[in-house]
Amino acid sequence: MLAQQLANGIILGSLYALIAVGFALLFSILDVINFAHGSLFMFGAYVAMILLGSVHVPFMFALLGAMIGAGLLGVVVEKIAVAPLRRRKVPGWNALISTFAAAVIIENLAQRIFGTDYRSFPSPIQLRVYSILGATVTNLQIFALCACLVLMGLLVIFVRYTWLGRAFRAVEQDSQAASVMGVNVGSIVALAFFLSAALAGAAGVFVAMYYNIVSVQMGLLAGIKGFVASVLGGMGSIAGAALGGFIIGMLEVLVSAYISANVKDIVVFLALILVLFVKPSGLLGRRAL
Amino acid sequence: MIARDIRNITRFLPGILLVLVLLVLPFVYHDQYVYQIAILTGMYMILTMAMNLMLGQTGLVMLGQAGFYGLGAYVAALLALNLHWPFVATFLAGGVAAGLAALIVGFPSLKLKGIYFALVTMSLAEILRSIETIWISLTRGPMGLPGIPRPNLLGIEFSSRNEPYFFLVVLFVVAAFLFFRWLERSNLGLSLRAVRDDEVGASSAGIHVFRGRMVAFVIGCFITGLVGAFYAHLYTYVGPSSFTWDQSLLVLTMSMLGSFGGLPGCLIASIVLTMAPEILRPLALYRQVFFGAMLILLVVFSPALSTCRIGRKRRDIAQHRTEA
Repeated sequence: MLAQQLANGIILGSLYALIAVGFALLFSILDVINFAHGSLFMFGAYVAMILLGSVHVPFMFALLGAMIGAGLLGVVVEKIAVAPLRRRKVPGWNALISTFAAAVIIENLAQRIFGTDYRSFPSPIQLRVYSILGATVTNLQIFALCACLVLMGLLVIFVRYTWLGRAFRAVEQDSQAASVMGVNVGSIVALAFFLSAALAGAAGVFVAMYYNIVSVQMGLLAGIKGFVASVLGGMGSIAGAALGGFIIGMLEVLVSAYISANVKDIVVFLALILVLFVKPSGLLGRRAL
Repeated sequence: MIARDIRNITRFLPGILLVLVLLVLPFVYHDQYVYQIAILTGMYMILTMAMNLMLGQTGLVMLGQAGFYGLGAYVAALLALNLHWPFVATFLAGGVAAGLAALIVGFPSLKLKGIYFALVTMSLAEILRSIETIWISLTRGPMGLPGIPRPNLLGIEFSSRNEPYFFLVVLFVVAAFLFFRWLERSNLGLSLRAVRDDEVGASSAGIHVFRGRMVAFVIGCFITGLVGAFYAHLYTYVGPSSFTWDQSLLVLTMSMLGSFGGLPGCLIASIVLTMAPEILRPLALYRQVFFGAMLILLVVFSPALSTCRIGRKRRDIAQHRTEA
């Protein structure tokens, strides 16, 4: 029983972590909270569904397509809703409104294009069930977990060990100085949006696969949960966001199993409030803002 | 002296005339749809002015207004349904409940800075909404509470017609406007703006920062709760789906766009943003898309956002020092 819940918690946590990392990436560079993140997540799931169901491409290509599709849409959001504010040096949290408006637009267009009803997500691989240490897991779940870990690992490697990643960190520390040293801040910001949205798109595909369902509304709750996870772990810290994701996934699963599924949201938000009171910069946050 | 009085009267004359016209209107004009939109606009005006006190005047980024709005509505609905309290009592109780909640929450959370305070209030609103959803024995959960009695004021029994509500909302907006205007111009309002602009400077000028924030937060939530109670008696139904987080964000948007034009700016912003979806109705299915596009354009091109707070800082603090 406990082993099963822990397994479920880790898998759900990895999905939240993937969403949260996208928030953290943007916040670290821009001090911007992207409220269209959930819509990008939803868009990725739809792109993969269409690629799998109508075009019949292999799953890996569908996943890649979803990431690129969501990533490009993320860049569009940046160009329309964030870049104009950045140029005018308006405080970062004004982007709350413009990205929220972008989410309204994306979700309503998606409703017109994809319809409002729930659609089932085509199963990409033959389902197999394994038993590991008393917990029953499917190969789909294992795949989702591994893919999340690999993607987050790739992101960390990119930021830490490549020259573009160094430009990333430079902009994060001081965008003006970075710009003086020849870093094209605009492109770095666009790239950050692309990566963050691509991760959201991938998370959308995994969640759709996990629950076997796609809907236009699926982004809203996932967006909020991912956001909470990134705050819990420390805004702007990638490792913190991942940790926050796992904590929230585990908390939700355990509370649903041992108390009641009804109170899981309350517990998650109470945990967030508690962390904010005790350490406002989050569990692994570096600086108090 | 007399010249100033006359100048004052001519300055306020358009406003007074407008209010009088609005108060007479229900007796001669009877389009229910127009009144419905007008009532909604009036409610958003009050919510936006309350938000303006917290955000525009005090600098509290509040993301959980819907929680307090819903709290006021639920308290009023439950008191009216279970204890059969009259409208005036439930109306005040809704406000008091939201104000008390703000007082309790304010003690730990108002010490947090900007965005963290925003996140705590957002979480709080979500928790309140979860409680409304799962406490089925009290709130009937997702089904909500129908059949809330309509107000009965001064012998006038309210029906499903909108005119009396409109009349009430006009009075409510005028009262709220005058109250917030008075508050802004009082010494308290001045010290709130000083806190917003320069916390350290304000406290060195002898302003109690925490107390100022608390007063603004509690008053803002009290007024929000009043509007919530009005909501319950207007729609005769409350449900958790009415108090979601995009509701908070909508009012935040109105007040951000409006607050830099002061209270009248708030009123205009709430008119524009409430009416926009209605005016865009001919676009039918795409109106939300256009609404979103309009919002982005407003944020991107609004001159107020970029120039906010510049040039006000020193003056307000200096003014406060001389007065204190």
